[in-house]
Amino acid sequence: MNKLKKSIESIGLNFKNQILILIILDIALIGVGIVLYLFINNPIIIAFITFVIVLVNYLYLSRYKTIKKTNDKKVLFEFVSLLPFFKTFIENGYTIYQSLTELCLFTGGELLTRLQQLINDIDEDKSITPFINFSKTFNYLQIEQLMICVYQMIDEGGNENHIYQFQIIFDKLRETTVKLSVENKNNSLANMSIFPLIGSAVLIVMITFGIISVIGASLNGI
Amino acid sequence: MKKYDLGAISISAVIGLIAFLTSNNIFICLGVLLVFALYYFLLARKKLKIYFTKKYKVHCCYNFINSYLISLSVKGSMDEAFVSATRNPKDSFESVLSGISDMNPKEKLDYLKSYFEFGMYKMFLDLIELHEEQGGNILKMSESLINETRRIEEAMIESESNSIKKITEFIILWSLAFVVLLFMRFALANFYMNMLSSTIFIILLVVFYLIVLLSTHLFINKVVVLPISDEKLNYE
Repeated sequence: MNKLKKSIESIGLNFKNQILILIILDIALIGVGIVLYLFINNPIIIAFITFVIVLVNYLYLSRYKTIKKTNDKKVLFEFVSLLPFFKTFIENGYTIYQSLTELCLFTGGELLTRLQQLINDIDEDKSITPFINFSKTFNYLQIEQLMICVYQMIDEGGNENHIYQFQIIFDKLRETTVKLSVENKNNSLANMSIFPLIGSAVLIVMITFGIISVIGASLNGI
Repeated sequence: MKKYDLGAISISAVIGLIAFLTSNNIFICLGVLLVFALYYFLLARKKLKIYFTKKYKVHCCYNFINSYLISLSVKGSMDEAFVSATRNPKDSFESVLSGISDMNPKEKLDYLKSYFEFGMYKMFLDLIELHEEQGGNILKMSESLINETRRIEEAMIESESNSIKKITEFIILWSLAFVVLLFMRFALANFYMNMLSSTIFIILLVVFYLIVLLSTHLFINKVVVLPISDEKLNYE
């Protein structure tokens, strides 16, 4: 239960509210089940509603990990999409600190909080630690390499080698994330093909029930 | 949006008609027709409208920034650069431009910030300001921005062409499912009418239409996602 609570709270949702919604959903499904049973009076309905309730509970409770992963990915993509601006500021004579501060104007939400934290940490600690801590929040190796490179640019005063190194890492990272975001959309659309298949499966079940009920009726007639 | 509205009404009517033919029940037919039409007008229409507007603005912003920077580099005048960048405007961009024709070049660029609500446009304005203050080669100064706009444009084009393929695939697959249902209805007419007397059969038929609606909703949700960060679209 604690694990579930932690995972719900880690994505900024209220644990009690989420459980309450699930309970209401379950009660509604049970209500629909009772109405259907009273209307149709067939035990299959009980099995069907039980299956639906188990499925809904499983899907509802297992979505938090996916939401967290999606949010993390979104912040990562957003950060990488800000890097061209960061690079432009650097190329046009801004210091790293000024460029990071300017970046805050281009973003919001979770990434803004992380960037502001980085700027505050840099104010207090001039070592590489704030950059490493910032990169760790993304859990992505190339971001760590990039932030080390950014630190070296401060530490060694805009050495051309570091700028070139930054450019290479940045280009690779940006190309990868753009490609990934297009692929993500393509994959999510491709996954939608499952629905017509589910529809066809429902048709097969429908026909089966139809045939069985017609045969049953004619046997009863005999 | 008018042609999309007409398309949505036609699709809802066709699905409603199929619902009538397959259920032989006017209430199910009207229910399906109403639910699909309401879904489009209350939920999907707004999403699609926002998507088409954003998509149009991203392409427009890309063309504007590129043309402006190249013209500024060649002609050196902000006024001439603006004229070059806004040649042959279309739709909403044209009406925005007609409203700002009396402003000076800098004011025009600043005003367009409320139209192009993208991070890349804000970056473009910062660069123009920096160029005005410090001078220098604008094309060199904006190299990263030009590369970024190119990346976004390429990603948009690739994503759009793929979306069209997937939409076609989705429609064909659902059409096949409907064809099977209609084939059953007409080829096995008497047998089908007997099956319709089963309540479970009717419930499953309604479930089938609900799956069609759910999948359409999820599909639209996926299609309207732009392959660029959403936060950049609402940076202020």
